[in-house]
Amino acid sequence: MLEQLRKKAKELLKNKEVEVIIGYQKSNNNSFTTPCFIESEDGVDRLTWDEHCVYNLSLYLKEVKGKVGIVAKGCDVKSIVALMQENQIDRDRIKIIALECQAQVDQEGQILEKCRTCQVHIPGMYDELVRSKTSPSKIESKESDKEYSVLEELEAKSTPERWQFWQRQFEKCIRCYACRQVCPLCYCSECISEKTAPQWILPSPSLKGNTTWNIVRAFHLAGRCIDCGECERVCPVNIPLRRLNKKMEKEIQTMFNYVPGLDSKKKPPLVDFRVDDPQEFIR
Amino acid sequence: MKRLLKKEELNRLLLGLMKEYDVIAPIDEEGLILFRPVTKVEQVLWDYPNSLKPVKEFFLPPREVLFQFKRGKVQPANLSLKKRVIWGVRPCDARSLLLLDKVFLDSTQDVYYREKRKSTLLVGLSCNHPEKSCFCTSFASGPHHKEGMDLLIADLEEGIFLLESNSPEGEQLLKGRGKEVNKIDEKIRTKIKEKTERKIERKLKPSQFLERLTNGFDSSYWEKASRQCISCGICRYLCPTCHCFDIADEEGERVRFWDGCSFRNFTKMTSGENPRFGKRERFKQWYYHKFGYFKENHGVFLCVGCGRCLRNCPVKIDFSEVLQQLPAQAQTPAREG
Ligand code: SF4
Ligand code: SF4
Ligand code: SF4
Ligand code: SF4
Repeated sequence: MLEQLRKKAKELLKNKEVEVIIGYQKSNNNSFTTPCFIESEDGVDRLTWDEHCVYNLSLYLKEVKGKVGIVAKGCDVKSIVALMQENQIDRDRIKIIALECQAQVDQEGQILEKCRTCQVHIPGMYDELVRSKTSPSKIESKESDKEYSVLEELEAKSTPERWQFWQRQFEKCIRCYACRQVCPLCYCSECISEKTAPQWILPSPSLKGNTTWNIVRAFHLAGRCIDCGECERVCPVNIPLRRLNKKMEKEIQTMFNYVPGLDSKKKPPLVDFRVDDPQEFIR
Repeated sequence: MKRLLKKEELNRLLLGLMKEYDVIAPIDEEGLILFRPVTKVEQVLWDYPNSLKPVKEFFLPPREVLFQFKRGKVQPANLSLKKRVIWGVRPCDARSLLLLDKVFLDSTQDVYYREKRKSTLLVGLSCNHPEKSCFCTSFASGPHHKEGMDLLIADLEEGIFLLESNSPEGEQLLKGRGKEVNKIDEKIRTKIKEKTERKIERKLKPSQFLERLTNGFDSSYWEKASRQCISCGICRYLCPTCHCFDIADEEGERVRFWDGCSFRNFTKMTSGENPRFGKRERFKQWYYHKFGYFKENHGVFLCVGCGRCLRNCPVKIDFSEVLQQLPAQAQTPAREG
């Protein structure tokens, strides 16, 4: 796969179809990977591909100007679709080199939670596709690996118990904003957390401000989060942020039968209007 | 003063401290290694990779109330603190406090910081198992250094510990405990110390940094080096020597809390002007502060080699690599302003 990936990347650069390729390279001590930006043909040998390519590189698409190539897994492609739906990127300047992906692992070698229920091992949109030689589904899915099984434990709790659970989690937040910074869909040029007049969210790390921050962020991503799980991966204090997002995803799916990041032509429910909306208040 | 203590005697020392002081020690809190107030000896970790958050959180807390103003009355913060002991501090973190002292105690004294420093004893624990990301030996420290501590505990393994005081208070704690240290014990200690120092693979030459940084201020290198960075607060907040803060009023409280130069609004002024708006400038500032300006102003680098920034960067940026790769002869126009 790696050879093919490098070949395609080289072609794109050679034919001047792109000026830069965003991909993965081995990290300094070779034990993991890190994002990289490749601008010349001889640079493509730095590109790597294995189960340590956890980053969702679509995050960088808005920063990099001009024609750009991007190495993307199925879940990353979903965020590119979502960004297109929200008119944030111009598809014409982007070349997607999509990779068939079995699963990604964390630093301890554990398969990521999101990969257990992945529906997009083969990405849904691309310019070039690199297929895997080994047969898919190396990970045996367990009975418990249903799309929303990760929510079951919390949903079984009573409301006060759930509140208590999240208060305990939010208490830990240090307001490093890594969750926001790593999120491809958190692209506001001024985040509500940065506003000072009025100050919507108390800026210091306290239970109150942290709660507002985390809830506001979850709300802002309802129907938009494509479940790349990056926020949870980067949170230094291990707040299970994916659960918040997954819950919102589930609500949106039940209410509007909509899953974000799958169809670039579809309008996300929160920017759409229908006369037959099930909610009374909006009709 | 040096004394040799068995594990039980050491536990007794800790237990004794718990009766007299508020003890803060490393514990495993739902999978995170953190320094927290402890009341039981069993909670305390002995062999642990350095904590996620540095001990600076007990001197420059993530959030600190400076004073309260409620119903027209100003209520100053209560600065008096029960005597505390931070137990199990690693040498890099103990040294970090000496660097913070330069900021908060040298010229203008910050009373909030000073009172906490004054009422805290530091009992350190030397490292026998440094991590891959550690490089304290590059910054005038080492896994068995006692600088900044009142008392250092060196694990001689097999349940024997060599305790060495480094202040009158530390000596007081040691008095009458354990037994005398003989030549053989010292030898074992030196051997362990040297063995550990050899385990530290990452070696930097910080003496080169200052010149490179001076030459490279406008180098296009920074554009490339900063590309991966997502501008979060992790490397700043988790660094034991980063000390920037913001101040705001929150519901009748004037609070000071951690802030960092990676954030867009860190340098945003009331007029809307922002001298460090771009990612490249914000990224660069961290390097220039630690290895340029601080060195120029205080004669030391603002880093103790704890490796937290490397370990915790969400996109695996290796700051030592960033500095090492900065071209020695960067072609730059003369620096303005
Ligand atoms: S969710 Fe799917 S595409 Fe994404 S990393 Fe996991 S297996 Fe790969
Ligand atoms: S990454 Fe975690 S600690 Fe940082 S702001 Fe987000 S929730 Fe808080
Ligand atoms: S710069 Fe990095 S290695 Fe140095 S003290 Fe800060 S966190 Fe530790
Ligand atoms: S932790 Fe890494 S990504 Fe975050 S600001 Fe520091 S260098 Fe940038």
